[in-house]
Amino acid sequence: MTIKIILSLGLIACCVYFLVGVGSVILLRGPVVLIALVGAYFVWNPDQANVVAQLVGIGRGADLLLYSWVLISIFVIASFHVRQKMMMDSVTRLVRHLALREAAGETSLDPVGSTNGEGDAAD
Amino acid sequence: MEGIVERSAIVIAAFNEAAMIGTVVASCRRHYSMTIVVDDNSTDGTGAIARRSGAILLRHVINLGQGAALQTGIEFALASGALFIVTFDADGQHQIEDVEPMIAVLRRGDADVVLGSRFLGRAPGISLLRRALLKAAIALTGLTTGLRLTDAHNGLRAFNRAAAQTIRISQNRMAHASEIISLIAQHKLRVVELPVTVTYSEYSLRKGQKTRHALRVLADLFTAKLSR
Repeated sequence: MTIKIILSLGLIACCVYFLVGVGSVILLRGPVVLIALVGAYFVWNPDQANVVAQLVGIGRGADLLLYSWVLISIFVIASFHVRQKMMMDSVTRLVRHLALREAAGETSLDPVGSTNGEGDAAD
Repeated sequence: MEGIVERSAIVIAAFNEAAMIGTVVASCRRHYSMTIVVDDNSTDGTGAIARRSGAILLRHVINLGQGAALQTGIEFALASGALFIVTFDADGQHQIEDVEPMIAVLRRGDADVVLGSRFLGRAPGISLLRRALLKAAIALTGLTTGLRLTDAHNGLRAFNRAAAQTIRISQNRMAHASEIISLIAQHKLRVVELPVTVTYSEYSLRKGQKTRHALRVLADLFTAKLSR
C-alpha cells in the first residue's frame, strides 16, 4: 500500500509539473499527463495491465509497461533535443545581435577564447 | 557600373581559415568593396587577417556554425543597403569571377536566387565518393522540395534583396544548405542555376565536411520540423 501511495503521489506531481511548469512544447504536455494518469490507474489496478497487454497482443502487463517505457524514453529524449534547439535559437539571436552592434560601432566585444563546439567549413 | 557593384555584398562565413581568408578577401575586394566576413569565433586570427585584407568584419563571440554566420552576414548586408547578396566560401573553393554572371541574372530580374552548380561547371579534384554523396543529397532535396537542381549544396549563391529578406536561415550548422533550398521552394522564389568552378584543394578537403556529418544534418532537419 505504501509504495502505491508513493508512486501515485509521484505521478500526480509529474502531472502538475507538466501542466504548469513546461514551456511551449505542446508535444510533451498532453502525452505526459495522459501517461501519468494511466500509470496511476495501473498502480492501483495491476491486474488491468495484464488485460490491456493481452488485448494488444503482449503476454504480460509487465512487458507492456516495459515496452511503453522504452517508447516514452525515446519521446523524452526527442523532446529534450527540441528544447535544446529552441534554447540555441535564443543564444544565436543574442550572439548575432552583439555581432551586428559591434559592426555598427555601438559596442566592442572581447574574444571569448577557444570555441565551445566543432566548427563548420564550406563544402 | 561602380554604383551597382558597390550595392552587391559578398558574405563569407569563416572559422579558422587563417591560411586562405586573406587571399579570398583580396580577390573579392578587387570586384566588390562590400566584402563581409563573419568570423565564427576563430582561434587562429582569421578575423584580424580578414580585417587587414579589407573585409568588413563581424564577430561571433561563440562558435555557432556556418549557417548562423551566413545569416548574420546577410542581415548586415541588408542593413547596409545591399541589393544583391552573394554567399561565398572562405576556403578558396569558389572563384570570384563566377559571381558577376550570377548577379547579372538577378539584375535583369530573371530570378530571385541564383545557385552555383559545380555539375554544370567544373569540379576539379572531386572524389567519386563525394560526387556520389552530393548526387544522393540532390535526389533527396528534389523529393522533399520539388526543385530539380543539379547542385543543392553549393555555397556559392546569389540572392536579390527581396529573396535575402525572405530566407531566414535558422539551421546554425551544416543543415543550413538543405534549409535554404527548402525555403526557396516554400516561398516559391524563382531560382536559376549557373555553372561555376569548385576547386578541391588538399586544404579545402581537409577542412571540408565529413561523411558522418550527413547524418547529423538529417537529425538537425528532423528536430527543426518537431520544434515548429
